[in-house]
Amino acid sequence: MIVKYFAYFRKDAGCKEETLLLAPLSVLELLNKLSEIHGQRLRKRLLTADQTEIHPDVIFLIDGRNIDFIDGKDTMVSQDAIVSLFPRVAGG
Amino acid sequence: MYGLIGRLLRVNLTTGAVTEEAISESMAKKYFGGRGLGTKIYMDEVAKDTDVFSPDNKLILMTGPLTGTFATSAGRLMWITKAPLTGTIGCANSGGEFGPELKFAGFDGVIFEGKAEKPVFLYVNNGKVELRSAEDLWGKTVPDTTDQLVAATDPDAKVCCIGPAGENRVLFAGIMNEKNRAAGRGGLGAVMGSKNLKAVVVRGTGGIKVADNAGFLAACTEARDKLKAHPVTGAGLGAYGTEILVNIINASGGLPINNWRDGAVDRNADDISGETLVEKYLVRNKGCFGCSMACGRVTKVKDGPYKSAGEGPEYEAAWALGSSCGINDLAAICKVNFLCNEYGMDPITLGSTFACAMEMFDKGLLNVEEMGGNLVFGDAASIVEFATKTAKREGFGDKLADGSYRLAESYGVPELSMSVKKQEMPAYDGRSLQGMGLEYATSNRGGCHVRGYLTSPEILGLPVKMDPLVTEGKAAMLKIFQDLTAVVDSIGLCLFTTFGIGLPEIANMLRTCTGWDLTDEEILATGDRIWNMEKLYNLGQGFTKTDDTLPPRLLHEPLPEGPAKGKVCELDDMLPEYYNLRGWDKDGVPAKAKLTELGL
Repeated sequence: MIVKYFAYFRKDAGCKEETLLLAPLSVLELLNKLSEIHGQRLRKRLLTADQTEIHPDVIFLIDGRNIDFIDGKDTMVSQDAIVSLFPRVAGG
Repeated sequence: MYGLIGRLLRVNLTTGAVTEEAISESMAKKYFGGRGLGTKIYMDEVAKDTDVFSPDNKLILMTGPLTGTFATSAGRLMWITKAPLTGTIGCANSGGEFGPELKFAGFDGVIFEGKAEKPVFLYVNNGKVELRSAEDLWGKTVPDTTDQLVAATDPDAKVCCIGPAGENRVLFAGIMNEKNRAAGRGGLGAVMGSKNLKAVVVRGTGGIKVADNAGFLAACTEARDKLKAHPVTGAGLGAYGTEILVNIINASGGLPINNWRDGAVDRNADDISGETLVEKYLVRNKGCFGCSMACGRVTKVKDGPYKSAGEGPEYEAAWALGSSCGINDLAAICKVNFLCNEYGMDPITLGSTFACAMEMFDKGLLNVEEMGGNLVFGDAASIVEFATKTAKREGFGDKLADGSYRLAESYGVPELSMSVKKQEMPAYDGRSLQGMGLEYATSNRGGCHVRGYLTSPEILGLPVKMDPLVTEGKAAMLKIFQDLTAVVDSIGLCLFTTFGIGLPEIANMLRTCTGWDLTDEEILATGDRIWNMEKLYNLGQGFTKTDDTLPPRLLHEPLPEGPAKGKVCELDDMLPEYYNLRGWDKDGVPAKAKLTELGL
């Protein structure tokens, strides 16, 4: 799967995107995995303090669909998915 | 009166007469100021069959009761007249410091009527008002005009002016203030140009009285604290500006490319994104009067063929000049955006008109010889060249200067104009954001994103999460957004505050500032009143239900890829419900009972 980072998540992850060879896993499992890879700073951005919920200021898209309209943190992420991670930033 | 100063200027440009008038408090309480009060005055004073460029037309500058106060991000002003581009009510707002300065100088607004024989500018300095010659300024750019007027009046003066685009009646000319802030949409700068009014210069050191000092301070502090703590208004907008939306809208499958023809996923989007702007060209960010968000971008292209400096671009401008034209050269986009500011021209309509011409070229309807150049998808150099030609109405630029609808219609293909009521839609595809489709179709000033910004719930989940691909609930949410936006536009607040605060905080600031005993519900109902008043103006101009629609492309051409693959905008699912919720009949006409309820 490809994971793309945007805005200040790029600094936290140290890259714009990365390709990960992972078996299908849930959104929550993926966020914990990304936190393991990139460390505490990204973990704080992506997860709540107890690491059981997605941080409310994270927008998580799988192939362009917001997981809020799929199965939330339990949504399964397939091996060929494109994941986009955004902080809740906006303009207009 | 509290909040508002209570005084207006009336300037007859034909006779040179300048008079002062009081604002009735009952009228202010009913329409607030800005967009609401300005539109009310305009509709009361201008006959509905008045030609937009006739001396009988009027141009109104209006601030709101919060403008220039301690309220957070309350630096807004509003210009109101009939819009040359659309023929609808035209109202465009701007930030910066000009609006507050006008109130400090002793006036809430100015009504311009007639037409000056020769170019003039209005100078207001602490209650003193005079019309001066601007003959030596005619033809000058916005920065040159601004610098010259500051030098000729007061070093702390604030300048609002038109550039060559307004003088040449480009139908999407804006009115600029402090060089880079724009009342951009609808072509109101062309009305200013038609009156031979080059600029308004203000200098003021007065104050604004509020009804409840302690209460107002507490209300403003509460609002400011919430804005600072919110991820959008606290950190995001300041760090990345509005351009941050490029990637998220693109990832959501909503960034239209090549005149909305080839889908809404731009594989080069990151090249023109807010992140890239920060990385390559950002000098510093910049805030308007009393704003903690500071979303403005001071930018510089240091070298290369597009070496230049200025401010912006905003998200919608970057999209219009970028993805919509198949261009991913951010330096060129910055350059054209700077030119738009210098000439006083709306970059959204400009870029969209370029994109329309590019598609017409693809179809063989235009050729290089006729255009006198090469406006083709992906050609960055061409948009730089044609920006100047458009502002000056040189060659083919004369056709571009009338916007995409008139261009496409003149070749028998109006469907290639991606516009609503002849104004181009910006940057959010209504096939992948269904609510935005309804928003464009029903906006009282034509294709526009800031009359009911449903991108907020559909993409950002603010204030509630709404699936962008479904139509359910969108009509009801849009009505609330449109009404609240009308309130915000009428009291002098920046719309971006609504990412972080809502009606309760806004109402509390308004009540403590003005002393008006209005409930939250009554304040929102005022937004409803303003919306219906604008609708009545448009109906009077001959607009009907058939105009509350979208370009055929959005209704009949499914998106080819992305999360909204196969989708069109299901406008027919949403529009009847929207009319019903508004208290309008099936043809979109307000019922008599509704107008009575609103006191219209």
